[in-house]
Amino acid sequence: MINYERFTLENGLRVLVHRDDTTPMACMNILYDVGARDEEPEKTGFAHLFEHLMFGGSVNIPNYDTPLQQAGGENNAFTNNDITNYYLTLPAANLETGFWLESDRMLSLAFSEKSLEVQRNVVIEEFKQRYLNQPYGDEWLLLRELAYTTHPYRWATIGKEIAHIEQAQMSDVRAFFQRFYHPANAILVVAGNVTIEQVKVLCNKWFAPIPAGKTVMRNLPPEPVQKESRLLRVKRKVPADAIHKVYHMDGRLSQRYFSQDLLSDILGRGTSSRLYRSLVKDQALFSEVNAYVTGNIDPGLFVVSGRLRNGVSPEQADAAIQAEIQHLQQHLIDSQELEKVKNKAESSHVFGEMAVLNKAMSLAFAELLGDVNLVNLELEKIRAVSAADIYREANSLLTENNCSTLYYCKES
Amino acid sequence: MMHPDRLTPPPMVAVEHVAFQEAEKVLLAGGIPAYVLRLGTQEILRLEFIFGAGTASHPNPLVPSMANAMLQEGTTKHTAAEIADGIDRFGAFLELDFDKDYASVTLYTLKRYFSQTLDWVVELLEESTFPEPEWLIMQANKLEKFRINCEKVSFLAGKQFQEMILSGTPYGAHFSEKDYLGITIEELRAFRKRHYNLSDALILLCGWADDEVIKTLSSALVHVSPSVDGFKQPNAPAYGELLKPAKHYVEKADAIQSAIRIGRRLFTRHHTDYFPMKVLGTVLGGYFGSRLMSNIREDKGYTYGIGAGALAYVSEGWFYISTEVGAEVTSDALREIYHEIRLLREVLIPEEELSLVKNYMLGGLLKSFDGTFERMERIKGNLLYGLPSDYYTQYTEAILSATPLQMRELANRWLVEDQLTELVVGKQKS
Repeated sequence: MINYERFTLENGLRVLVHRDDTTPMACMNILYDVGARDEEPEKTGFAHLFEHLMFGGSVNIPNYDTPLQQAGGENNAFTNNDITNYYLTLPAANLETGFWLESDRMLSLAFSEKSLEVQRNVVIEEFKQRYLNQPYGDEWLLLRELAYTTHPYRWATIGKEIAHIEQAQMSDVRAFFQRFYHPANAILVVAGNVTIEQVKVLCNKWFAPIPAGKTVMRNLPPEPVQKESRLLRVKRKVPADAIHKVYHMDGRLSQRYFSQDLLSDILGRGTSSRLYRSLVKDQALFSEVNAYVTGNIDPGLFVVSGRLRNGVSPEQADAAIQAEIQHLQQHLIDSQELEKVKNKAESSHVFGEMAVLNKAMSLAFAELLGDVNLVNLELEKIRAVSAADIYREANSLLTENNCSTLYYCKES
Repeated sequence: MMHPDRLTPPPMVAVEHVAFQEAEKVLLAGGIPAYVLRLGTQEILRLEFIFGAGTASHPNPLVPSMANAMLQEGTTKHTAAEIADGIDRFGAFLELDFDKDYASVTLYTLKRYFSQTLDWVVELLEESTFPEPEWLIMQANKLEKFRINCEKVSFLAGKQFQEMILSGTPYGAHFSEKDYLGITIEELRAFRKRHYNLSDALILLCGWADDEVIKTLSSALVHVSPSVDGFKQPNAPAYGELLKPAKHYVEKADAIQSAIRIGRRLFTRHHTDYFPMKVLGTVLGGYFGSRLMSNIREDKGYTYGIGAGALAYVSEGWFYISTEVGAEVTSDALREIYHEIRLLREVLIPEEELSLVKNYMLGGLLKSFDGTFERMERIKGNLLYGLPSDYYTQYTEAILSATPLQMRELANRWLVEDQLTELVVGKQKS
């Protein structure tokens, strides 16, 4: 249970306050409602590049990091397909430094050419380090393109290709800021050793004077229903073959999301899961295997991934996964197995609430989904899933026609 | 509407003190101690058993790591599958982990399932049998994982660099594919028998640890009586020959980034220069605004990240600089790194910069005590490395009293170029 108070400034900024006086720290989490899904197909990777530029100086403050470090604070940010999220922690006594910094870069950036040039290079090195200079690094670049034909989830947050990052111009940066970085498109969570009164005063001082922007209308092309199975086979310089099977599933707001999430746990979460027991241990076909959901706001993917033991063919591995899925399509799971994944979900949830920053992020994301209280209702929704729900999802979701398969093979 | 003065930073308060909280030392019914931290808002528990069974405790460093992983693969009473299911059904998490000095078994559980999940942990600590079929599967899978890791320049560089600078110390053992294949199940069982005794374990409990919880722990371990020594710091022999500092280059033909490691053997947490070296390491590469990040990432864009710092094990310590850079800028990056080290030796750090680093470090220190698990980590560190209870007061004072002159002296003592070892894995020219 996360307690919170909520208010909205006149310019549209939504603010949530979570008080936890067991900590000497305070944190600020600012979620901007923009992710890689909001990019144009010819300018992919831009939301993430932009995140880097947010550290390149704002209109009144030449350097974001220096004053924060001076205040004993730390910060970071991440971008995914749905959101861009910035967060900082600092000694609670220095909270106002955080307000000063975050409000200034919401007001306007410095738009420095040098920063754009350098961050293009930094992001290109990040692209290389994470996606190109790693064994299996490009798996998700391939999988997205295979599974999605239309929806912008078809490209990864880092971008489709390095060229898109190289081509980013200052005019793009300005337009992006104008469109997405304003109070009504952001959610601020202040958490830790803070009071609601203190946060209200600081919000009125630093954020209230920022002019309201234009509400963003999002109109993304929905992914059409997949009508037949897809298969891609690639060869790469890797020591072992890998297989991925991805299925289109529901978005984060659907009731069915939780049944689908638990179904993935039953199949492939941890060493007591069906896939691990059967494929890694009993049949010794895989060296590792797991199943999970991407958890996107728009309809995301249900993923089964594994690496094969030497001498096992991808077809054989594929058939072994299918057999486990078939079993779930033909038999109701017993109550003990269902209870197991629910307990696991519950303890992940409770342990997730140990850290103040985690709580702040959960609040921001729930608010974005439309109701901050979702954060406290999630367990109930998980508890409500029945064996019949799992059975239904196994049959409706995990079908041939809904599946895209990637065989990622070693060069012989 | 009032517009605030955005050009002047709000007043800031410097952190001057962090509160270290000792754990409660509770004597369990059988006579062994457990260190308990009762703190937290959630009804959860974390229980750790730590043994002097790190990778330095065997000439083949893979033996300790594999023995640790094998603990959950079967006992006299239950199969691996039954153990996994037994713990998972209560939603608990079991974490098996190791470093150079220590190995651990950690249980994360909801308080209401403590008794049931604790029974499993005690069973696998006391009665695991290391069944051979499970070992053969693990051996094959760990070897495959190792082969995959060997395709990563960062993994290769990290591994080889440590082997180079720590050769001739307890932490310098080298391993390769054949060491995976050479391990026998008897060797693993013997290691377990020798190193995993509950009488010698360091037991740490934190979270919602009320009296009922302590009672449960006490009765689950009632049969465990103290050994002669109890928990103590490991004392491993040295492996390999002490190597002279040198520059090494390992080509990886298809690399598009090169991994760079530069550093040297240093000292433990007990050395008088340890705290000041932490400060100097932070100036050079320990935070986002560090010299190396500012130059090599934020000015030149050669890398996604670069870091530096002083680290220590029980009986050795080392200094490192670590980064991955575009293959085509490898030599440029090397030149800039040495340039930054030279500046530390030759030019006094401006007061303003040092003051920023101090504040950053003290804020970080405060944060490192934020939360139940974090506090327990600090307590654990003191116990594992034999540190005094005022260690963090000393650390705080050392940070506050660091001076530019002291930093320059330190750089001239410890960061002399021909005493540094350099390793590049990747491509030096494209």
